[in-house]
Amino acid sequence: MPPKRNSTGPRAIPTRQSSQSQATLSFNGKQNKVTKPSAAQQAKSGKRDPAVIDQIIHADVKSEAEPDLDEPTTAEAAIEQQVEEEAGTAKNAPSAASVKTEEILGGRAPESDVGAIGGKGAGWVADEEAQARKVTDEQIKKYWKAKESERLAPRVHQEDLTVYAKVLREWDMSGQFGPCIGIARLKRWKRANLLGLKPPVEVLAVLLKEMDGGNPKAQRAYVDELMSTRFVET
Amino acid sequence: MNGQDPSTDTSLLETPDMSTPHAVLDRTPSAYTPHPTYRLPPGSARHYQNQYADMYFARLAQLKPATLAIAADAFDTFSIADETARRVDRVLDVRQGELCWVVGTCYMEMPLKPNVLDDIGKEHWIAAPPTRVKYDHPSVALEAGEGAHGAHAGGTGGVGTQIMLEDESGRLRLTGSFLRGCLLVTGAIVAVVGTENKDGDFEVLDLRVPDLPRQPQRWEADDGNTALTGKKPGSKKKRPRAGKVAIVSGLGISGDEGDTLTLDLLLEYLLGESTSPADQEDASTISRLIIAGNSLSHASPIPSRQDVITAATKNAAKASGTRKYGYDSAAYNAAPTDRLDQWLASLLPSMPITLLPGAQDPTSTSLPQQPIHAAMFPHSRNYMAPPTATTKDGDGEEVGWFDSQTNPADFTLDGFRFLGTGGQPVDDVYKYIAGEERLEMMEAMLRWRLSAPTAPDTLPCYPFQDEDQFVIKDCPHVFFVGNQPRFETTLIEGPVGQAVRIIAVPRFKETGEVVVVDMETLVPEVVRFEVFD
Repeated sequence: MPPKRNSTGPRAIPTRQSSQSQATLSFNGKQNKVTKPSAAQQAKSGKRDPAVIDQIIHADVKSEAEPDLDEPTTAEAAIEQQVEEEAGTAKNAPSAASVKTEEILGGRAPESDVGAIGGKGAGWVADEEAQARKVTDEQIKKYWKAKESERLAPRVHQEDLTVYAKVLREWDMSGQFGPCIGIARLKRWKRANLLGLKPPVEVLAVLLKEMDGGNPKAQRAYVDELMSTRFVET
Repeated sequence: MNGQDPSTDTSLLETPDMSTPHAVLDRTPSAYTPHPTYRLPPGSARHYQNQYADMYFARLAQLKPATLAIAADAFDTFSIADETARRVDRVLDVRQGELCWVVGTCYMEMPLKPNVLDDIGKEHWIAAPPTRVKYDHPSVALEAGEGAHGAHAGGTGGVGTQIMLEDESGRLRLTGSFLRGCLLVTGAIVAVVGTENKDGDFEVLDLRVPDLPRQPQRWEADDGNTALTGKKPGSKKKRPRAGKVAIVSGLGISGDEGDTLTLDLLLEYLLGESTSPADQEDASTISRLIIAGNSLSHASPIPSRQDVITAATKNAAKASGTRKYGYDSAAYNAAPTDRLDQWLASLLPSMPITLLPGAQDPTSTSLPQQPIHAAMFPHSRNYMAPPTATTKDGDGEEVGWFDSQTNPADFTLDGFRFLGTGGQPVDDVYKYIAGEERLEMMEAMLRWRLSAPTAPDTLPCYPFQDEDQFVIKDCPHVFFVGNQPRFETTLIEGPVGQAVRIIAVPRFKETGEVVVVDMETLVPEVVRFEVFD
């Protein structure tokens, strides 16, 4: 900032004359006209819904803001929308038209409805959905035992979880299939499948069982919930 | 104008011959099919809360198989002092002293890249940071913190530039003098062979890129479509000789009086109204005009960084206290779009046009830029395809005579695959790489198989979640980039016989040049319009 000068030079804004230093009141003139309510105005205001005004009168405004939102934030809403899409497509019989892996990785460009996003079919490459539905509980338990035996030490803080929940958390933490935050688990599985990364079919079986069992919460990664909570309980 | 010597071409200055009827020339038809590769779904189906990590992951997953194949060929026999290179799966699996090779995404840490802290800084200071021509400035003086990394300054670039290799496991800093000879930008997928030294950096001995993808045969897309719809393939039927295509970019219509004359000259040339009958016959073989970006100047709805800076400094000088953010609807000037619309509407009855948006056009600023809406063209709208409520499964959208396309654009013209951009990806890659060779950068973009490699790092783009749409899956026959400083062209070759013609299209407003490509030979030539003052 340039240094302040002591002398006051000519100022850009001219000062008011002293006679105009006081504000004045006036009771005539256009600015002070008091209009009487005319018939047209009353007719307009008559259209207002009296119930709305009642609502305003009777609304109780909380004095403190609530920290927990009733509506989910955008990320949660996005995952719920993805889950609804998956549920909608899973209910339909898997269509014969499907996107081939080689179309994603190379070769002919896929014929797509909307081009950059989405595509034909429900995102399945072959008959994984049918195969996943054939996977039994014992197979899933065997898969989980194999996973557990890979580690020397047992997993801690997982005593309360069912095998399904443990399988899904392991699915989240497998980084080779992509980031798990901001995407529904089933959609992540389909994406990994389309990219040719061969995700395990047992995880798909668990996801389909959870979805058929009417548990949409299982589609959201646990770390996603942890990362998006606004307040940390201490 | 081109070719003919005016002194010998006497027909131009003779009185017209009234007895013989003039032959009416017909324009060569053009077989055109756009591909919806870069179209985004409308409105509510677009989701912007996705993270860009999904996009980088998808890019690596899509390009890893091709890179692995090429690198395996090259590096499996790579040996130094009886030690052969071994492939490691993840970037962090490299071991010190062991010769190994790995595939990952390149990330370049450069001191002058756009930084959100700069944006905060310019709101508090009157002086704006200077515009960056290149992101690494060899003579820039850095703070002590950056200078401490001088030992790791790496191969290319100035002090403070670091090149790293990244995948889902982590990042690995790359060093070595080999990198000085490589073109690298953030987002390119590369395979490197070398060893980890005692500083924890990876010394690179050799580098491979995915190289060009498979190139379809000429007419493959059309034959494929006819096969799908059950008709007999057209390879047996004789296709007429294809004409030429004119590519122009940077018309830069700004509503001033000054920019009308060269535009009208171009219009008359394309319509066959000017010059001699010989030239008019040449012009009648031009079957399509492609406008590659920046038809309007200063029509982008979001003001650029420079505009915001100048507006902020102007406001600070006036000391008015009000900041104008975003779009001031009272200051809208309809003259440029009106002029463009009239110009297009005069040309459209005679010739089909494909319009790509550019950095300064009134459409989205993030890539892929969506087509300029029909509402901007009240007269040319009659030549566009009518809007469809939903796109039907199976049969393609109706393509109008006037096709407003996305940027980047992917279409098939006379059987050849074209890939074109309005210039933003190449201009951004230019900022990363020392040197002025734009053709080399365009070739590198094709060999990396990415039409916008620096998106989303320094180039704003849509957050794709399922797959990276900027990965080039089919090698084009022609790759044109608009809004370049001068006309340049070359032919590059791929490992399995692909051949791509790369064309840098200059800005018409500055140079007055139009590129005309012969579709049978794919050789470009330049037509220049000049006005002598």
